[in-house]
Amino acid sequence: MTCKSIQRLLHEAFERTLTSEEQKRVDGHLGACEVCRADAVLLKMVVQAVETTPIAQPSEAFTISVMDHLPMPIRLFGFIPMVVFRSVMIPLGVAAAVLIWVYRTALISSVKAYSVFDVESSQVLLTLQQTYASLQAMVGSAMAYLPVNQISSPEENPFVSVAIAIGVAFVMLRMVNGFESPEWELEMDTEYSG
Amino acid sequence: MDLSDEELVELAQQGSRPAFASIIDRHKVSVFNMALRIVGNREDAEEAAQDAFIRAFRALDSFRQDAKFSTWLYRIAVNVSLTKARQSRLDVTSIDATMDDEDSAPLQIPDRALKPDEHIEQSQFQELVRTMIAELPPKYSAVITMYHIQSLSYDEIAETLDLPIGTVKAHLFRARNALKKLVMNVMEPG
Repeated sequence: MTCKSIQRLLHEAFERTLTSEEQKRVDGHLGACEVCRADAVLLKMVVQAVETTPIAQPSEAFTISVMDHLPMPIRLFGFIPMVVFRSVMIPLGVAAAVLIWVYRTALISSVKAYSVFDVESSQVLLTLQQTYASLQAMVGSAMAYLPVNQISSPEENPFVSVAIAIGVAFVMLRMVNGFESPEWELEMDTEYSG
Repeated sequence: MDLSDEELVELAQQGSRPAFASIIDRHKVSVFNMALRIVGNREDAEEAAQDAFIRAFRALDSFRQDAKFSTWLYRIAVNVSLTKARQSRLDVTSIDATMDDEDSAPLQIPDRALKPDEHIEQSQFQELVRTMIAELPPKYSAVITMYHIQSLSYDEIAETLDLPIGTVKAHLFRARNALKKLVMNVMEPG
């Protein structure tokens, strides 16, 4: 039996019990080969030293230190976990955006119908236009965050999710609408230009 | 009643920070010891272990319960520790070359050979061996730590390191020989 095959068996002996035949061959070889015998002794001592390595303890402040470095808990209004937020709030937000868009004309008419707004209808329309501009700004934010990586992921920044949801909804709605300006916006333009 | 890893992870995924603190308490010693044997000093090991937990927290949503949490966590810890070890050993000839071409690339022998008149006692020998683990190529330190110190099975090591079992066995064989060689060179310089 060669020294190399004995080496193999010596290593395998750490993982399984050698068969009596294998053990006999190893013992026979070690009895005759001084180099392999010395090697086997050293290997055994090394592995024993490794296996008796004492367990080291991390610092006492380890857990606190890790907790201090964790990203802030992602909760909406202080109690809704992010996982719930993402799974519930985003679809709801998109649905709300769709409904508002579909019924925008009726909504504007009803807002106008209230006498309290009648006198300040231009203010109401201005607010709507500002909201519209905000949505456009959010589309920009969403686009900026689209190549989301680990650092700017929704786990760390919930506003990314909101911006993406609103942005995508907005772009889809504009596409459905053929990228035409909504009536109230045209109305505003007419009002200001006139 | 103690919650299982999987239950704690589920709570942590729902936003429970105390649940994640419990996960840290449960695994910090294993993760720290793994890092310590790979990077070789307490300061870097503590940093690597903390970084591993922070990364695990950030990636918690991507953890699926069909895998074992400790294996998933160890994989993160090993990767962080390997990166840290490589960074701190940039002065040593390419570690990857040593890993891929074990027979042709000689190991770097640290300059801490014993003087001829120095007598080494058993406790010194054990300490020497333990110190030398961190002098091995990082992946060898990782397999030897996982197998001989943390008593993980071949399957667990293979899953943690994302390697075939055959490769794990080969790494382990070479790691033991490399460690023996390092120790021998310190004890019998020249």
